[in-house]
Amino acid sequence: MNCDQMRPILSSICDGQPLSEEVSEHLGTCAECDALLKKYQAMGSAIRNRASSYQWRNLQPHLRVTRSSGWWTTWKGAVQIPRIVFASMLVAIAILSGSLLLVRAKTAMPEGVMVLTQDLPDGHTTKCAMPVDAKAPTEACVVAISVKGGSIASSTRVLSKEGERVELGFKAKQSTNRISNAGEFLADVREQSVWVAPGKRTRVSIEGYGTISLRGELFDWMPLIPFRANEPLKPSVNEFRLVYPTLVQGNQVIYDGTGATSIVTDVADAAASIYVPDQGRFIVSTIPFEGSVVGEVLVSEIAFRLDGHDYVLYNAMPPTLAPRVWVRHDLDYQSSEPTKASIVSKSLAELLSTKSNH
Amino acid sequence: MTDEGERWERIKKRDVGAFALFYKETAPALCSYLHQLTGQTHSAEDIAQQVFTDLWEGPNGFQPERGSLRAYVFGIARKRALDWWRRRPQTGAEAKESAARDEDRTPLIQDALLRLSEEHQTLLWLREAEGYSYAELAYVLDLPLGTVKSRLFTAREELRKIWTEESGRSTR
Repeated sequence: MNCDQMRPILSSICDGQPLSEEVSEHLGTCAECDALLKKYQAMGSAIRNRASSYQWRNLQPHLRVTRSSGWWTTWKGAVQIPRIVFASMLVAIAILSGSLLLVRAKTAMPEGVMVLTQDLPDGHTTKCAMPVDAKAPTEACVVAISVKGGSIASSTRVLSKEGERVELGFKAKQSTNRISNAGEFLADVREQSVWVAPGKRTRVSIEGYGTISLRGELFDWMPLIPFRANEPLKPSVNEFRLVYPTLVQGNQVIYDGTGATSIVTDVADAAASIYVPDQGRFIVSTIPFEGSVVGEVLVSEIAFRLDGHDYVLYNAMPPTLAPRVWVRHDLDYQSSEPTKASIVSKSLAELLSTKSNH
Repeated sequence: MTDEGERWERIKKRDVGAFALFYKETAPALCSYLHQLTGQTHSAEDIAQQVFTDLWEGPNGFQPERGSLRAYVFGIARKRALDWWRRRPQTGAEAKESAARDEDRTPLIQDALLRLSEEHQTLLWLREAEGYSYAELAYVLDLPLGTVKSRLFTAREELRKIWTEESGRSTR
């Protein structure tokens, strides 16, 4: 057997194929073939090292800050989701196949997503995220917020896009009362066309109220939290964030919070509550409280056992810096809207003081 | 029914636990492989994400008698990575160069692997890093079983020549 005939055999030896006596003899006497076998083996070892170093590196949670460039904020520089968080998200998403928009948002919006900030005269600010479609008007983003002397509702939708400028259909109206259904409240208000451009404010006068200042920012992905588009992956101290939470009991989804977000910041007893019709509410707190059990926080999941059931609360972002939380189930809790599931993040003291109103 | 077949049946019946376990076992290695092919962390994770999402949304196509579920998923991921290359606006050579620059310190072996054809990269990566058998490689790459062995040899020879050349250049 000559060295040319040996070469393919040396390759197959690296794949675990058995050595014949003839091949063994040749290897024992031929330095060239022995060196080639060692070379193949070294290449395999280098590939394995490369694979393991890649996995090690990426299992380390790390953050990247968003970098804005003029009008656009690009995905590449944005928060990178560590794989372990992605795993949690994917499992949550898998449970909720309806939530697949979340993972597809990035590629499904070639024209981008506009995050529109409305600065109100009394200092309030509200934000909306809307996909941009240059060919057809998009669904309106309708909000109502409490302001001095009552409430104000606004509706905004993207009508068209020309180069860098985006045309919006905008309407707003003030009420001296609380607005419970902003869509209905604005039904008779005439929509006006306004244009927003990069780095510029557009002012819109609202009769009887004042001037609302609009500014837009385009993203090439749908921010999970429109009103905090550049939200870092890492929560702040004294913060609790529910972002697209999903509560699973055993293998059953009992709350699907796709699109729902509630954040409380700067409170030492940060907590959140999830109300589920017919099941009462679940309070999750960063400090212990009466009647609660301990839940373990694993990046963006919270696992706990209550009333003989295993629960997992999946969140699209790490909800808290705390390694553990305390959870209580108030089965008898009465919501003001008993058939509507809801979430809220507040201080624990505030949550415990509300016995019947979510 | 085999373990693989049983796992597949559970995933088809939308068993979250089975899917999550399969994801946890497979995703890191899949991302690692895709990272080798694309040279970009974001793209690798995007493709992996899409592969798993599609598997959950429409679990069909896997034939347990042909190979493992893991190999099936790698095969899909490979096709997706090829689509990704095709959709990129750059030429293949330019894209590979930019991919290699995605990280500040690209190890020598990755440079060398990136200069191989995609098929040779896949063969060597799945064989050496993932320990795939000839049969599994044949399944992933859609090659006759008898061809895998000779292609692996060709890939090793090609890599050896590039690696030797690169090592020589880096020590000069």
